[in-house]
Amino acid sequence: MHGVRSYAEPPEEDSARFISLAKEALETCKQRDFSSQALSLVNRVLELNPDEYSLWNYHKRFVLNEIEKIMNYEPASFQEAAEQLFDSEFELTQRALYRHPKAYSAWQHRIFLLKTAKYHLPSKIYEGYFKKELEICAKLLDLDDRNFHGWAHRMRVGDIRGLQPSREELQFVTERIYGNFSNYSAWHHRSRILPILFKDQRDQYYLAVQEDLELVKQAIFTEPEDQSAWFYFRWLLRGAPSYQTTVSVLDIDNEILKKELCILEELLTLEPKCKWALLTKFYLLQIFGDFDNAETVLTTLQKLDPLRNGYYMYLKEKMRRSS
Amino acid sequence: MDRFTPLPVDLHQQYLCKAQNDTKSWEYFLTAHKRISGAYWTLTSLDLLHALETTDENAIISWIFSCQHESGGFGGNVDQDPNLLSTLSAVQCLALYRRLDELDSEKVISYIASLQLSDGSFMGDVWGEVDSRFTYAAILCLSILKRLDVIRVDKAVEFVISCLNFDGGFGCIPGAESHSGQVFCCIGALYLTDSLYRIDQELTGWWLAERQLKNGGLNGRPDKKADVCYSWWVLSSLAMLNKLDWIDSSKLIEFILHCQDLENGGIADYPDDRSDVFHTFFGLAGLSLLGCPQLKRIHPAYALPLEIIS
Repeated sequence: MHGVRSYAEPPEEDSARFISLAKEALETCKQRDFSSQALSLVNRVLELNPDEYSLWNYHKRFVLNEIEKIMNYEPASFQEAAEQLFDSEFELTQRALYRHPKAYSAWQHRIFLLKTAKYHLPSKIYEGYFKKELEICAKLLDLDDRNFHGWAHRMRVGDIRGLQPSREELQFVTERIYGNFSNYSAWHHRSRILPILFKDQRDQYYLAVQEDLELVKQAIFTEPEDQSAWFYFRWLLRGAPSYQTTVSVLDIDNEILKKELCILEELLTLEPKCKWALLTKFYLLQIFGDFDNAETVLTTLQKLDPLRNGYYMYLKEKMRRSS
Repeated sequence: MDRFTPLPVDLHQQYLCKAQNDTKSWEYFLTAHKRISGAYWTLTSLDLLHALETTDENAIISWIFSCQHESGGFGGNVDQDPNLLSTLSAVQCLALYRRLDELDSEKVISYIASLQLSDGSFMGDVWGEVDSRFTYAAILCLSILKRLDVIRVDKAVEFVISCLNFDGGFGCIPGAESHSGQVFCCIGALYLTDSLYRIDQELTGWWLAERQLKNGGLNGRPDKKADVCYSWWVLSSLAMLNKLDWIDSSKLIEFILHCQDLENGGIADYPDDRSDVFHTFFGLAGLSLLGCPQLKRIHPAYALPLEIIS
């Protein structure tokens, strides 16, 4: 089990009881028994183990079954019944996720609920669910800002609503980066949002990239040994590959790259053994065709970071072949 | 050679056999829904240890078939709903025992093909969750059954490429953060479809190489702790990219060996944690990839002993 030294395991008779409870619950699912008694049995097991995916599937069938039942109600009573149904389903998954924030099937059940709500309910109700969903994601990311389920869920929710990443989303990410420069997840999402946001606005994109270089500068001077901002820095310098539609710094201005090299030198005066500054410096020197100095940097890296000696040897060899 | 020894082969074998027969513990309760994947991890580990013949083959095979549904897909256990990941585990177990001929493979391949969407991605089951893990599961399953022709491979590859990120890694859906587990699945899918040329392999290899930490272990994402499961996911990805020498394998071996339980057998996620079959498999698979002489060699994409893949 991940990170488990010795967990407080229930006594064996309890385990045996839960195992037979789970068996009973699965049997209930097979019978398509949607009585309140059956539901509470299933929910009991789900609370103990939210990874029991077949029991979530049972809940999906239950939701569809209920919707069919209330479909012919008067609009007002339909709405009331539907809200009651969805509220209790959302609450069940929420309880599971607060205790097990990485339970794939519980996250997925919420996606199912959102899609189903959007299909069957009036917009003012499902819009409320979407809004609440983003709030819950934010709360879970407050507890663990690297929870990739939480981040992916935000994207999935946006997709179901048919929304493109917005300035608010960029703002959300920016706040997370300022809260913690080591939040690689937030840097990642920045790299995703920027190219979409400024897709047809080259000038604005150019400005955004320059602002980001400032942001990166703050991050690398604060946490020089932390790889998060360095990977992002490299992306800004490299320009995006063909699968991301964007404008690279290289396309814009060689002067910027020279300025960045000066910034790296400044950092290296303070932190001469900073691997990441050296690696980025190597990258820029190579672009400028300064192969002798680039090779010296690689030799330093081989000593400083022996784990990746093979990678540095590869870079040396490749440079020799191309120069 | 010395860097691997001594690997307490018998102890690990005992641990795995005991775990395989455990149906009463709390751990069993928590993992019963994916017992078929547990069987795959256990049986592959035992095979790597040259001990598959100690298992009750016929009983296991008939239990596996009892997990199959009318649709052709397998569930994670008896009475569990069918899904792609369990179907892959079932097929891998049958391959280990060389008993694929008993499988109604037409049914299985039509189940898998039915889960492909028009954008090339795969759903994990009929309920519609999409994830690049499922693309790998589908492609690997069909590769084992030699029936890749039943899906749109070109579209599946396009979907995988759409999960590629700024750092050369891959996420679970387009735009999701890179994660070594997903990188393994996407690299595996590209490898099995001869499509690795589509990506910047140097960039991906660099991101993977940066997963190695000072203690020799590998992590799954930047600024995370090392964990033995990445000794498989990161390492096999590097192997498929032909870049195993970009990290320090001796230090990694040391880390994996430190995660062994030398009293009761098995391997844990981290030194001094409690071992489980999942991490025992990933630890042994990593050691096998690095050439441990006491273990059979494993294939980085098929995740089965090399001798099974002919």
